[in-house]
Amino acid sequence: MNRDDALKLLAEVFQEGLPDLLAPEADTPLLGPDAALESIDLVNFVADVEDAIQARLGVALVLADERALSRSKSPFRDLSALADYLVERLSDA
Amino acid sequence: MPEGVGGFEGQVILITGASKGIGAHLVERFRARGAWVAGCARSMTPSEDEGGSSHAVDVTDEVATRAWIREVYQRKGRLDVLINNAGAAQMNHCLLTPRATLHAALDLNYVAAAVASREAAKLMRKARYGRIINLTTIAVPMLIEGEMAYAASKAALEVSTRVMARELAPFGVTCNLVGPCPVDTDLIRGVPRPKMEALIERLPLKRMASLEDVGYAVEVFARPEAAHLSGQVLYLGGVS
Repeated sequence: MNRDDALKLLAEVFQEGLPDLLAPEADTPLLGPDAALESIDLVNFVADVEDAIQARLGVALVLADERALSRSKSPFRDLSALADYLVERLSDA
Repeated sequence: MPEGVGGFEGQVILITGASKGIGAHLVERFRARGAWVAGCARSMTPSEDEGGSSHAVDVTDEVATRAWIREVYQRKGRLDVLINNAGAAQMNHCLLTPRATLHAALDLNYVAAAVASREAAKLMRKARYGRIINLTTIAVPMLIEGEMAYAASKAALEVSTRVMARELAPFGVTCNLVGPCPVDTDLIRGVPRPKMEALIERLPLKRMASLEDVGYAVEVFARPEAAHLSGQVLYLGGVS
């Protein structure tokens, strides 16, 4: 999966899981004071992404693992960062 | 199914530590009540029949635990109840407790249950329904001497479960704990008889719990009607 594919997947998962919300841009903050999502929506979104990766690619990933949480910049801060993180994790899977 | 026994028809229930003792009793109890029950334990021989399945899973292995939960969910299309029963007691004076024993107790009695709960809840949230029941022990409130590692690991599980109860409430998932007093299982076989008799004497209800006693308490939290019970600890033997 390349970065564009990852961004496409994230957009699809967002639309399916949170259809009532305006889809964020790639650089829209998902965390912090300016976050476009409620924290509970972000939790749902990350879990939905794990489900989608398992269903579509057959890969079992726990995205919120030690690697993600130990970084100085969270891979969950926006869709762009999350797409990069997905590509990285899938290349290691 | 015996007449009058039911209440879980069509439900899918996961039980860890299912090969013997409380876990094996819970498997039979919920099967008799109409649930499809998937049990796991390190030593289990994989099998399946019309009432459920058995799986060889070491719950301290995160990848294996997640794969087991997902496999059952994908095959059955739902997950209603997770019962984290797998656990082990370590009897030792604090002065004779190695660091490795502390880590092992936490890993099995707390971390494994928290990870299984996390993974089950990710699936339960889709149906906005779920029951997570964790087994704790009266050693937590009674601060039983010789059970430092065991009681501390279960105390961690109690707090974890109660926090989870709050975080998972928006998803319709309840999280509760059942804390048996001594039950005649392998877990207490190594405890000297005089010590066990002294412990029983400290209980308000002065006898060991039966497997039925424990099963009933677990069932209370597992039932669909228990939708407004969450973050609770139910100790047996009259302990509070």
